[in-house]
Amino acid sequence: MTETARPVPGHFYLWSGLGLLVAVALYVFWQAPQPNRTVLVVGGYLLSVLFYFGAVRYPHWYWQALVRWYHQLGSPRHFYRISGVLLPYLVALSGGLLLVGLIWGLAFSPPHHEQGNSYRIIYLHVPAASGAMMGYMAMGICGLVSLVWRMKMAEVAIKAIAPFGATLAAVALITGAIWGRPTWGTYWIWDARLTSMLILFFMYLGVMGLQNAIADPRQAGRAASLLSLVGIINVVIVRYSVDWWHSLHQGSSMSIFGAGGSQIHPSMLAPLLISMFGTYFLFAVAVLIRTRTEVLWRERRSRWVKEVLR
Amino acid sequence: MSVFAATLRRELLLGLRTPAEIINPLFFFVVVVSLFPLALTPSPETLRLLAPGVVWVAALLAVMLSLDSLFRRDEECGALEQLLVAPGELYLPVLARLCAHWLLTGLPLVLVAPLLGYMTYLPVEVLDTLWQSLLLGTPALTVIGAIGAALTVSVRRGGILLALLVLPLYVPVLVFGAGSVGRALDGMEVSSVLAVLGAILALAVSLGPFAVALGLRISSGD
Amino acid sequence: MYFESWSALWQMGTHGPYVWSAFGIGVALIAANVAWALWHSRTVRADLKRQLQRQAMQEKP
Repeated sequence: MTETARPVPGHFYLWSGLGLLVAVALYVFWQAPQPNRTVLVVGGYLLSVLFYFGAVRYPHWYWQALVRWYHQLGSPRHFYRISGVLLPYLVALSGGLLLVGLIWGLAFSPPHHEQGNSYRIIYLHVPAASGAMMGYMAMGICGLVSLVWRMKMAEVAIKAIAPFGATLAAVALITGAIWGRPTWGTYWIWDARLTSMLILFFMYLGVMGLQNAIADPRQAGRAASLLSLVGIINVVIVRYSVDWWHSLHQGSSMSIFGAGGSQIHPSMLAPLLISMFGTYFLFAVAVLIRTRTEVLWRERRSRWVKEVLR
Repeated sequence: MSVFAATLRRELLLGLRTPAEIINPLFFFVVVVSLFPLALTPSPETLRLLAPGVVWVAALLAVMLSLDSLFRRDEECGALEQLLVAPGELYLPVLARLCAHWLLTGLPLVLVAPLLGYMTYLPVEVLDTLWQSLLLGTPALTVIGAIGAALTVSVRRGGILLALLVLPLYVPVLVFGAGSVGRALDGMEVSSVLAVLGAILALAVSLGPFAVALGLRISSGD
Repeated sequence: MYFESWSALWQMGTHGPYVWSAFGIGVALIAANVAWALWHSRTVRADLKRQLQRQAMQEKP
């Protein structure tokens, strides 16, 4: 590409952001049992208009925005600045969503027809479990980026993701065990999902252990990158193997919530989705806090850190 | 002589001149399996039920413990440094090292396993599945574990860390390996499960040496 | 609210202990993790600031 980079106009971000919001809204309405047709039609129209202006007419803006974001995130100084602007909004968003989702789930949603009130643990258990899973996926992607493009920030991100991901996996295990007591009559059961979450927890511990064992931060970061990349393949295979192993040893198979997640009644699904998004944003908050600390420490000899600290 | 053959020959010679490294994992395997009847019960029915898991877990631990010495000696004498600065891809020399290591430590386990299966009262027709599953499984265990060994080669006293890194990666192999023997014990067909083990082995052998080579480069501070 | 009173919310039929202990432990763990990150950030900043001041003191005279 020989053309000089034109500045990305500000309203481009506005349109793309609005399009994303509309897409999320559509996704939420799609989950409803009888979707409101008017909303779908109007939303679909808006989405296609925004997509036309955003992606079809000015595709190079997308590309430029992507390249610019990549370079800015890759530079510790710009990352520190951008994350500092972003952090308060993320804190407010995650706090608000978690507060609404958890209180709605605990006090306002109806009880489950079989499990009564004990099912309310789902509002912490499922967000924690899916957060731990997504965290490992993010770690593997960061590992790929760090190994292929040698991006320093990706190594720092892996170091920041691991502690919170391990905590979420532990929370999923503990809440799952407590939930198992009234549901299965025992705290621990070798259920396929609990078992793969246990393995995921061990894998987080492995990444953290390797990080701590190697003194040189760059070398530790690259070693953790390779391990988390290998770990991603393992997560997928473990999932299938544990499912197969579980079907081989039938006997205590009783899924907590039907076969798939989609059979949940919408009055229960809405608070669940809200607390899930709240957990993701909280994950981002924790990762950003740790990444900012690590960036300051690693770049402590540079001029911009001195200016920031002054 | 090609790189692969030369490296294989060197590693095999080195291994045969330090027989303790071949005998120790084998000895460990036999001792661990024979501890179980003492710890649990000598009753044939119970032991037969537990035998697939016991033999497989013992083989897995034996492979894992043997891995600590995989790159350590080369790292101490500087041969590893030589390998890393030499021009050319690392895939073949690494693969040759892994092959030699499996021939010296994994293959004896496969050969001894039927005897241990017989001692834990596995029916004779199940012993076939036992050695077949170990034949497919132990090389995969060696390759996967070598990734962890490569990453921890610069860490002093990395034994426990190696276990923490590698054991979660061993779960699929263990599930399908012990599962195939368990299925054979129940009289069900096992070829599909052995095929999955073979698929894991193919994946490990085709991609694993790249990861091991990258791990060695990272550990050497490149 | 689904429950008629605060005590009903607290007891949740017979499942109160399970639900509240699960939420208590889970929220405490997550909050402790975030607090730990914040504390670490604060100590690192303080350390770096002290180092900077020491350097400035050495350069001045």
